[in-house]
Amino acid sequence: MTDTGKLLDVRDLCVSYRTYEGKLKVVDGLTLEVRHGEKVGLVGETGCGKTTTMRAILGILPRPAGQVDSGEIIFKGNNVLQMKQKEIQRIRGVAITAIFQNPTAALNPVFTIGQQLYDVIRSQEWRKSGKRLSGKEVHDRAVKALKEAALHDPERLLSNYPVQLSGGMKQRVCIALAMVSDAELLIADEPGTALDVTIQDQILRLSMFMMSKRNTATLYIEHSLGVIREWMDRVYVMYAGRTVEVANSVDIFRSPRHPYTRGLLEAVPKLTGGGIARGIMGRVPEYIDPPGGCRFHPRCEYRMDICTKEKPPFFDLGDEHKVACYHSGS
Amino acid sequence: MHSDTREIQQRLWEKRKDNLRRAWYKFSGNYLSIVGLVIVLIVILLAIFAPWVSPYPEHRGAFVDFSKSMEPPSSEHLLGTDAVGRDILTRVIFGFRFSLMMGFVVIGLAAPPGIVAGLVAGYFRDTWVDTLIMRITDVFLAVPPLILAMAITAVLPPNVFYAMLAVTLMWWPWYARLVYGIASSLQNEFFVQAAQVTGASTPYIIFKEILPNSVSAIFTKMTLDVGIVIIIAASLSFVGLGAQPPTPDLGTMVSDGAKYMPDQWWMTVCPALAIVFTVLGFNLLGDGLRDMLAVEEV
Amino acid sequence: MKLSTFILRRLALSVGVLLGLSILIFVISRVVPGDPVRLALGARAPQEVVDNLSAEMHLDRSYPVQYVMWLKGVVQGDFGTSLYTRRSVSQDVRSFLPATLELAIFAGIMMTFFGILLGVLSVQKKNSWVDNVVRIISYLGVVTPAFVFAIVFVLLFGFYMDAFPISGRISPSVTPPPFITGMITVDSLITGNFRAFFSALTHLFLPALSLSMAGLSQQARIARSSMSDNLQKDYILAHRAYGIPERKIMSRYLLKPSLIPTVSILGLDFAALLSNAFLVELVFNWPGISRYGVNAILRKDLNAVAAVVMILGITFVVVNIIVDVVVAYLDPRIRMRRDRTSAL
Repeated sequence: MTDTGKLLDVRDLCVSYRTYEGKLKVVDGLTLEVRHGEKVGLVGETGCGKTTTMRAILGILPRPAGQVDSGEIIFKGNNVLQMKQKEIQRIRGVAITAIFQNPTAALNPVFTIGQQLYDVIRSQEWRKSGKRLSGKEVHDRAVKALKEAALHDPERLLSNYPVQLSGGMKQRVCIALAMVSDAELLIADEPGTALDVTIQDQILRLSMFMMSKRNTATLYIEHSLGVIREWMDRVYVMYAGRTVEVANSVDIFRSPRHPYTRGLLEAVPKLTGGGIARGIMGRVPEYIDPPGGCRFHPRCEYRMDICTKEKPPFFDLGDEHKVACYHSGS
Repeated sequence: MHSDTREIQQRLWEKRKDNLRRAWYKFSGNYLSIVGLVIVLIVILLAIFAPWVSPYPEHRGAFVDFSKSMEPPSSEHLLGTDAVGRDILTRVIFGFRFSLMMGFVVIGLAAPPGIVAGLVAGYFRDTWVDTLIMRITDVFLAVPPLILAMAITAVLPPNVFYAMLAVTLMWWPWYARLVYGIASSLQNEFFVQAAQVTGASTPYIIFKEILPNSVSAIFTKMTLDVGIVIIIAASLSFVGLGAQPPTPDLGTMVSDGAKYMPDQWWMTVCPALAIVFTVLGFNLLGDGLRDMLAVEEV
Repeated sequence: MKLSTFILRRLALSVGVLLGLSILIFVISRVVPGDPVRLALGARAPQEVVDNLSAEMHLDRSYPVQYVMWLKGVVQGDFGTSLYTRRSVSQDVRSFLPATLELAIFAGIMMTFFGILLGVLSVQKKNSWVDNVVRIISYLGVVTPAFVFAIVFVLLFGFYMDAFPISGRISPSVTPPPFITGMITVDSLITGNFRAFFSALTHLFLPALSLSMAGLSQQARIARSSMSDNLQKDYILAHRAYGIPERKIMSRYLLKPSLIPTVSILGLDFAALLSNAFLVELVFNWPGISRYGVNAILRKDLNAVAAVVMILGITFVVVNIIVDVVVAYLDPRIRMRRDRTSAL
């Protein structure tokens, strides 16, 4: 099972939420892999299961509503889903870490930045080397982490509460929190979405810069393809809980194959070549009773009979370009 | 034109029916709410038909039969008899009448002025009107309600009417505070501003735009409060400040029966459980309404 | 805003509330139909006595003047003469208040401690039998009047199990400690009289338990719901993702934010506790200020009534200040907020 090239290998992952209305199959057959040091983008509309995927990988699905039904999440040769809570905890923070979508929600409102950062640094070191750091060491590392995240006056910041910080500053603090671990894999869940466009760009550049410097593998989750173009090695496109297309970041923009990917690309407003962005008709389906066959078929203009009946397999287009579509695959 | 309006009315009606059906579905999803509703209905029906459903209606008042005094529960007297030989079940059923009347009348009298005060203060947020009204409610809320009610009964003759008046006088500020919270957050909303711009009068905005948005919270609180007022009324009677003998009142029965503990336990335990039963009903019902109407904690 | 500034502002607001309260109480106790002195002394009291007392209470003056004179006395701790016992009301209050304070403090501690403990247990063992028991207790606590709890506990623990005494503050066979604070548990500890301490403690248990049940169940309910809400929050997931040990997340990062709603409601719970003291003291024959107050009300002893309500009002206002300060300490969002805070 072990493949040395692969750091993270997610196979046929199915995650569902039990809710009042019934069982929601939010992720249904998701496949993706991240290799050592690689930057991978995961793109899809809001509500297509991206955040759920991230939580499943980190083992932090909301309990008891969320559960993994089937599939494998293999991290460094071990199936995370078969690990005990204790073992998952050992990787979390040390080997895998995360940046969340909304920095305001991701910081505990009643603890200072310092209290939160110190605790992370301490438990990291304890896990990694079994060493207890002195107060001075912890403090120095915290200041260093905040400086690296381009935050001014880190000393004062340490005694501040999240409520005293702007959105951009909060997200930088979150980046610092994620960075103190030197993890091998970082999962970033739309770290800019909750912020102003200008700040969003700064945050993206900052996190990418830090990732490249440390050679950390990254799974970068985004809802728009535009953001991802510059930095990613490969891109997965996800629709309604399934991977529909994967290619390197050049191919995905130059020759997108899945109708959904094309729709996504057309939805990006362009500065040159006029006209309003086109977009895709309709919206992500309900998860209680999702469409059978290819989940995109109700919105697809190339729909064939088979699309409504059978789940399309991956068609290999060569050069690591794969697409799950009867129309463009065969 | 005419057929259009009719069609719109028809559609509105359909929509309302649909909403009702959905609300009932949500309410009945929690079986505890149904239990609450059933308890409340039972208590109300018993209270209304007390003279016909109670086994010894003549025992409700000043009735004495020492040959039958202090009998334990039996098939003849399901909940036993009291110190002067009256059937406790009968007196409990008549006791529901008094409890319910107290609950409904007090809430019915206290809610309207409280709601109006809260709406006005909330609409004129941060003006002297707001300050005046809310500082007055603060003063009332600075003393636990039961204590203030007792103080008021101290200067009035001890009877049911004045007990009710006392509880009402200290109950309105709770509604003022609840509605104030909602109204003061709504007064800045676009639909209120839109009404202001189109020249709607202040009373129109307060009662037609803001009030309808507070109705679910008010309704839920009223249901829960009926239970609390029943407890307060029973507490007043227990202390001797509420209903006076021989009125059949649950609080008075508990306190009279307590003198005969532990041997004649039924004389105090049965009316006590009757209070718990009634209040439980209103609480379960109120919680069900809260879930159904998606009201935040009131 | 600094915590000290917050406390100062909070105190200033409370002074206003207390002034308002004094007006309210004055209105209730003086603006009665008829002559309050005649009302208290009864129709058969000699006119001379009535006139003397009326003069002492300045009943011949206008209401505003009466109020100012009454308030002057209150500020100096003088509530006038009891119309029934003819003793100084302040004297009576001094001898009865400690018993109630002791009971209320004990019950308050039980309510907070066991309430939060039950809430935490119920979240940690969610949907287990522990959780179900806690949910039933918290429901019963809300719908059951305090005097019903008192009577049920007297029957169960007093009469049937004979496990706890059900009347008074200390066994007649035990020599009570000298009056220092007036709270027997404290006084007996100060004087090293452990027999008295133990006896006082067993006497406290049932009344304090009956008194705390309503607040205790409310606390358990709020603690349970706020903890299970917060458990789904992003920041808890984030703490997990950063690798903080689960036990630390539970005991530190989840508990502190969840305590905020629990502590905020403590003020209201304490109000319920003070009201219920009136009923519980009657059942357990507890010689406290509430029992004194009930008797004063029944005898229309208006000076005593005003004193009792005013003192309980002050107690409640003080408790609310403490609660607000603790909440502000726990929740930086409240401290940092610049707009005005409500007086309560």
